Amino acid sequence: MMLTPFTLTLTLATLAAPLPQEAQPAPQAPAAAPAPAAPTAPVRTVVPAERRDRAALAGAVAALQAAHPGRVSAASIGNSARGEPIAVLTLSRDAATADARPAVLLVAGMDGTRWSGTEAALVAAESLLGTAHEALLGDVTLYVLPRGNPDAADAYLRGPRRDYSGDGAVHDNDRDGKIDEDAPRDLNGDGLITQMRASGVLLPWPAPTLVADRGEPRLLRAPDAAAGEVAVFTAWTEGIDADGDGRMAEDWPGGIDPERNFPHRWPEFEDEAGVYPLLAPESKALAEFVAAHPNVFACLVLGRHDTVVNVPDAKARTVGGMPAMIAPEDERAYADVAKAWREVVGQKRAEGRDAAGSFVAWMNAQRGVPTFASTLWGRPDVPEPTEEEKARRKDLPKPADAEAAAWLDYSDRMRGGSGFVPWTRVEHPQVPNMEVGGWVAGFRENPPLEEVAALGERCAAFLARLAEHRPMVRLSAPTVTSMGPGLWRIEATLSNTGRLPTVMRGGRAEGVIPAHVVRLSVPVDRVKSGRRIDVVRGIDPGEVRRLAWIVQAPPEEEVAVELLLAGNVVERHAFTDGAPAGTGGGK
Amino acid sequence: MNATARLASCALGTIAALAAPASAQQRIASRADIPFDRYYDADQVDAHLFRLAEAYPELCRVERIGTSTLGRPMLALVVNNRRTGDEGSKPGMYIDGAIHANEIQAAETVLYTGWYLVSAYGNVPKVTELVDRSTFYLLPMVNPDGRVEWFTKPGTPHSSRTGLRPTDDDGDGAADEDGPNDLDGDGSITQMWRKDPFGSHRRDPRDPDRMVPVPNEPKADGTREYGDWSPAGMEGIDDDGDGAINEDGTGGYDMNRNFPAGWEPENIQGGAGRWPLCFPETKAMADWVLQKPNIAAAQSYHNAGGMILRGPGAAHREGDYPAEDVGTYRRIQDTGAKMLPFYRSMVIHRDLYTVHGGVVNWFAESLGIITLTNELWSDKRIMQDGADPDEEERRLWNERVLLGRTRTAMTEVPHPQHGTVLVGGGTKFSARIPPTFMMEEEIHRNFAFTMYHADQMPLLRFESVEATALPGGLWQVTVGVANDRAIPTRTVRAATAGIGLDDVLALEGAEAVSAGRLSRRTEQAMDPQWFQPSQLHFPRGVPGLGAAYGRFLVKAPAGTPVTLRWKSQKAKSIETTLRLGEQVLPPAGAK
Repeated sequence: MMLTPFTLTLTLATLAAPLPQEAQPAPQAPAAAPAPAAPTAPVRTVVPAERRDRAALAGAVAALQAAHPGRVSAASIGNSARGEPIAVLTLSRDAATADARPAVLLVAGMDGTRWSGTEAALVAAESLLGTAHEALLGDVTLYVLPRGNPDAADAYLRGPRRDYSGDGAVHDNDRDGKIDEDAPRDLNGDGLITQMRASGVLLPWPAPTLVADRGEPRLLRAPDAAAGEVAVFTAWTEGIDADGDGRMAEDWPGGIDPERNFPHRWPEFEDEAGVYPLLAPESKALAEFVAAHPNVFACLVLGRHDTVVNVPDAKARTVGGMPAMIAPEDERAYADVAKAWREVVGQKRAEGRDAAGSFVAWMNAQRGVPTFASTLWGRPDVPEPTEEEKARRKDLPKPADAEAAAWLDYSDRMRGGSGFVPWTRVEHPQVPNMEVGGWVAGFRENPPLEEVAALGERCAAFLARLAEHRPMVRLSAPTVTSMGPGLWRIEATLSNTGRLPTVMRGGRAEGVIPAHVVRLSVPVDRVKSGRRIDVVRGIDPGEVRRLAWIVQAPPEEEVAVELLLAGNVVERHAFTDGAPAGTGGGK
Repeated sequence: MNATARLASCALGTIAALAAPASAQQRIASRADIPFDRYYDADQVDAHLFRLAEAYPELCRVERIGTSTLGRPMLALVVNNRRTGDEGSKPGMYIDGAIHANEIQAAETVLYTGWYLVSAYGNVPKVTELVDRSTFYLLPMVNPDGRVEWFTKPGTPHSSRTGLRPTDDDGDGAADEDGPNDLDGDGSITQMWRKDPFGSHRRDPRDPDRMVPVPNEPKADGTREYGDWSPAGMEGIDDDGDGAINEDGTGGYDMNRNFPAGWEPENIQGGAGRWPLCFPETKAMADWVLQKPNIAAAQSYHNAGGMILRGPGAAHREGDYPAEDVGTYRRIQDTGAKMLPFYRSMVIHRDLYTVHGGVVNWFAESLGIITLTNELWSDKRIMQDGADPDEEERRLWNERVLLGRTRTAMTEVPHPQHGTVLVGGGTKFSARIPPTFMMEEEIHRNFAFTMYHADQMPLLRFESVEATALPGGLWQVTVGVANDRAIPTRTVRAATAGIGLDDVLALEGAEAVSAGRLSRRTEQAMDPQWFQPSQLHFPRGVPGLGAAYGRFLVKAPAGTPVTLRWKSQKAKSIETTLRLGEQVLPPAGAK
């Protein structure tokens, strides 16, 4: 394979000595959280993306299980479109009772390009099993899904690399009745699928719509008519017109994009969003897992979406009337956690994509489980340009897309130009003047390999913080006051002393999400005031609800006040004749 | 004509009439006769489907499309004459019923449809024509579990709307733990009244089955009158001791809110389920339909109210109904209103209420199919004078026409919470469904309406094929394809949203150098398709009662036979062959 800058970087990385054991601090280290203690076991699990194939992932999972017997169990939530099992790890102090404890769900690998999420998830899992976080797993269970979309990961590993997240489903992308007849092609042999452009394109090929930005000519953009610009380039995905229909690279193997196949703001007619929500087995399996694990109180997704650097607008609503992501009432608690992410992980920038049809949007808006999405990494700061560079740029206009230009700057100056394939002429069977070039898939989506382990450690630290935010619903020990013979006033408070709601607003619907229930043992006809069975659909952090009843209870009959969740009794307070049960009666 | 001649021709006419087949006005003869003056439970409906398939194997077959929540097979009848083409090669009409299981007459209506189509085939020319050129996908019971529940358990005309998956309606951690109870054992769940010395009602002394409200206002002398009874909800007790009665019965969701078109979760749309197509019945039906891109028309039967409904179900989806499609809908709906007395043509969200995620919305908006829902039975059919019956009229109807059969006697029974209650009143047959002696007419009229709807599915023919010689050995071949029915081969909705495949006009037998679409047969310049000119795409298809035109520039010697084929997902493909220069099909006329 040709030694392009991209492969050069990767080769250097693989030649490097075993990865450093301590986290490298980011340029502006966060002051808030203490640096995590050095991991007690070497961080073995980070390997270059090319090697984390199916077998390597299974190996990493097996290694974790072997290193922490009884505390890690592995299962499959279902199979991908191509039949690959989707692994889920359960981390807890005791695998047998893990589902009985409140839990955090960590999801990664829903996107083909974002291998760093999978790596970070594995590192985080290993770290959380270490002694630094031992107490955590006593109270909270962690479910880790390192690779939610195995088909897309396989495609990325197989190459040529492109920014693609569809699963392996059979799908006619261009709706011409033929399947996969014209996939993208690596015309310049660089192992990548990038873009192509051609100037002066004549009929029958599409008319030009783009110009090269004068400030940064590698970037294509729409012409600025006010500045007298006229379109020059037509652009395509790298490929040819294999089936003679006038389109290039328009129908490839795959699929449904699981991260656009969830029911909230589902983009119905976008290609690869699926003909109905949760048709993609990856999305369905994840949804079923969530539904079967009501103990999950929060979730972190590492992928293409961001809700932690740019906290979603709580006022945004869908056309049907649901919150677009979160409701105003939940904004404060949500933003607190997002802030914790920024403090612990130090991420300052994120280019998250539209969350329509995504897992994070569905979880927040319809399941009411606070779910935090992060791209894990954003564009780093680039040092000030040199005097030479300033002089060169002095007379050029500013690039229209400042962020893209900054990425190029970063790639050029700090990554040896490996982020962007320079536009280069290529022989094309159909269109003359064709050039291939463009962003390298995975470059902007993943931090450099050597930074991943540290980010994984910080994810672990964040998850530990997130666990501390968990809702803690308590029923206070009731006070019981005699109101007369056999007549008692019972008062209790139901409170959530945690920092997250039990269910956010969108999930407080009937019959769908389990609720807390406060229940008296006294038959209903002896409950003179108050509800015998009180359903509480969601308790906000810091909320205190006062409950009061007047009940009739004959002497020596035990009266119990119970708190239930999803049908299970989680707290029980009993008393007889006004005194706590077992202590004997006072009248 | 003089009087004698008139008399003679009259006599001849009479003789001729007497000689006409006496069967023309008799009931359709069938190898598998099914009476339609009675209701059938779920097993009986299934058995009838098998009888039809056994009796008419050349015209229909039973297909199991899935399994219900409680494990019942979901059975459909597919009607197609294989000799005139495969099922998928013809425009398809999909008809279902009783997704709300209490809307029971929907199943008989769909069953009648299958029965009539196969039985009348060969004897009634219109039926023969429809069966030969279309495929019918008939699903009498989308919710078979619910139908079993409706027939076997005490209920009201409104119960068993839901499916049978246990659902925790009240959030207390238990599912289906407190449904209605048949306290007096009369097989019905009725209104319940509790004995109350300060009651709002009393029993009518003239009619002990009738409750009369007591005046609300104090009398002239300032005293108030009180009755003996107050309403106490529907018949039932507090089964789970939570202080509420009947708050969590069997099931508790609405499968007609579970489809992925504008689907909204429970906060917005009650009964919608935890996500679209989360129930085995809805998913099985959707998966089955998605395999049939030839479906061009659909009807989903419900009760009640005498309505012919189209979407959208919500105001913000109006954009999914472009004007041309609305025109197609109205043409069919308006004809329906004339075929179905007391039925009105309506738009769901505007004239009824908001529905998110309904079957009709999914078919119309997500699949681009011209779909209607008929709400069977209108109370206006009681007096048949155009108005709903008033209380006196209803009483006469119940007592004298129905001979009291839909009423149960009011009975006092003990009640653990209320002491004594009075129950009794209308049985589950007392509303929303026709009495058995009025079933067949209504069923037939609705069936006939769906046949009119089906008859509007695209029917294509070559209107004109002209080949004109151009210099240099080129030929200009102009083709017009007409659709003689009102439903286009692609609705504007389908074309706009990118649902399904384009229509394609293919030319074989010679090289097409160039091709393009025309907006009229006589248009000079064409809208060119630069690639693969032998396969000319028509994203808008052929409009209803309209035509589509295309032109090929062909390089071939005179006398070359070229074949033109129009391929459409929702119409039978047609083809024709002409020899360049030797044969020209006349425009707009003979076939």
